[in-house]
Amino acid sequence: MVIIDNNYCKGCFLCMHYCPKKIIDKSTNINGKGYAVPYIANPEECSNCKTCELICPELAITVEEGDN
Amino acid sequence: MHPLGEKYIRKGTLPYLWCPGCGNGIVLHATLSALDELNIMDRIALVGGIGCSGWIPTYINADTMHVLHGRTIPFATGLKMSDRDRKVVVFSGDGDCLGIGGNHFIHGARRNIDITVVMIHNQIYGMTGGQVAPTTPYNGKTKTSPYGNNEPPFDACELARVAGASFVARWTTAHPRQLSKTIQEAISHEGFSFIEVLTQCPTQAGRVLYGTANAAKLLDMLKESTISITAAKNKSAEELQGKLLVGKLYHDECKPEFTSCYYRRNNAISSL
Repeated sequence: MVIIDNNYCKGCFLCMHYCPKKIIDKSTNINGKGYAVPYIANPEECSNCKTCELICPELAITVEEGDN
Repeated sequence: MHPLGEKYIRKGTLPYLWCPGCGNGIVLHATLSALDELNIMDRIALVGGIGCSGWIPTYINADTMHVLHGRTIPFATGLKMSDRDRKVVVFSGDGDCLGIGGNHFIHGARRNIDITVVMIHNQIYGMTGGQVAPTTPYNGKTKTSPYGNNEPPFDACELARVAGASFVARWTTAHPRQLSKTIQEAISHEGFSFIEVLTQCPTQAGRVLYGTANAAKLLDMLKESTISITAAKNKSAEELQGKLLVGKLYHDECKPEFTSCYYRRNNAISSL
């Protein structure tokens, strides 16, 4: 399960680019800092590979074992 | 926030000063997971220089020093000499390590003192506005070389190896898993460990050198310009043309380490 902490996200979208299953997409939401944040578009396809977690420069993404 | 962040980050310092898409955060995450895996948070000392990458240690809730420009390795040497049981990790930028502190770097490597140097290489002086650095590629356009850079860049890994470092590795921020594993190995290694991390700098190097501020595109470029040392073994010279080798490039377990030699000699003299 991918959890994105919008408070820390700076909207670089490295997670979206590096997700092998392409489950992350751009949203229209803006966080408190003024950055557009990503959201999980297809949560059921996530394979818990943790690539987004490792590539996030802000430590804003956590991947937990288990279904979305 | 990520559990590692909850555990080890100084919350009062957040958010990070870095631009969106900066590679320093990826190096910070890789370091945190390496330190967590080794479980040595109580006997680690982190030293940061001047530059964007010098901020990495200041976010970690451990014993840290933020020191003069280019003088990370002298401070780390003093720290290691006075407290031998401590594991010292230095975070330095390419300008800090090879430009301003170039002399300290080669002498640290020559002594083979047990410190780990993580050099964050973004090919430019990012924090001061994008001036030409000792690692800027030949012909690269920066703010202070608008018609192209006349100087060929340093190969930092080769320099560290010939100067006497006993552990030399290179990764990019597009390889966070491997980077974390190598940091772990470098901290465990006794001797001068040098890790060059090629990172993207969307604001300065990206816009000026590569013409894009898109961090994902810059990371793809980094990935395409490198090849792992194990994969390169089966490739011909033409296929390796223009590719940079990444991975553990050099490892020597047998080289004598400076602090242990120093204390052994000291004990021998005092018992005379």
